[in-house]
Amino acid sequence: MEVEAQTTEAGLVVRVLADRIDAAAAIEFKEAVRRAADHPGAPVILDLGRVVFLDSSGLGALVAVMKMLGPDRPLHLAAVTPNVAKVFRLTRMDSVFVIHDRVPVALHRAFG
Amino acid sequence: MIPVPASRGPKAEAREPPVRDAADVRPAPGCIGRPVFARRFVASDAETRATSALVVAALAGAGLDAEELGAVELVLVEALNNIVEHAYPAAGGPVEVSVALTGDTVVLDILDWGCALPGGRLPDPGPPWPASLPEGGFGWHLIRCLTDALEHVRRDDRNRLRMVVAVAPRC
Repeated sequence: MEVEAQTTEAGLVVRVLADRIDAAAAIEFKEAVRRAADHPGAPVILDLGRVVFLDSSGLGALVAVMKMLGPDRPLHLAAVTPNVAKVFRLTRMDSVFVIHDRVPVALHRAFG
Repeated sequence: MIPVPASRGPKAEAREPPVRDAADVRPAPGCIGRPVFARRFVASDAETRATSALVVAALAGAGLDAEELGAVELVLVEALNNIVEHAYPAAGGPVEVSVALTGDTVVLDILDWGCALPGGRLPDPGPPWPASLPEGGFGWHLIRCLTDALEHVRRDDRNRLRMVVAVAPRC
């Protein structure tokens, strides 16, 4: 799976260039984000603007990425599309991730 | 011929032969509504993706909106993920998906010849606790949230899962 990483004032923005994070893509997704976020430091902002489908495997992969980054490096999700947002809401996992409507240009300190 | 381990139990001699070719694929007996899709394939993550794309295309052609398509796609994918992971844990086996439309529902019938559900019943685990940072266990919860009726029948060596999703009434 292809991702595109860019360092911004807000943090490391990792844009997912696939339209699905599902069982077929979950392992590749984790690996791609791990590589993109290789250097420690800035918060990671995952731009999901192109992702129109997320299943339970994809949700599990997002949680795995969050754990991989560790407690000191927050994972933010941005530009979540409606069907993906619904998966977060129905599973109540929207309480675990910081979710932004669009990719933030800067992060408030409170977000870490 | 589908290999069936001897451990499948004493009813083995009574089992129905699995459907063998595409010409035999038709809505399951007792199916309701107007058939819009049927496909037989060997369970795998890639086939889950291919089948869900075909089902979404067929239902988009029938006029479902994006939200309805999203719900149908999600329950279908979660059910097929379960088959790949739990019904055929060692290797892929046959799956048949058929989809029908009534005036205000989508009826999905999924057949497999794999393992039975644990306890022979549809799981109802509830959502995992978010703060425990779960990496799985969301599937049946999502299916239950997004379906209006859910039925599972194990007959001989076959599972049939029927999921009904309500959609806006259409002629």
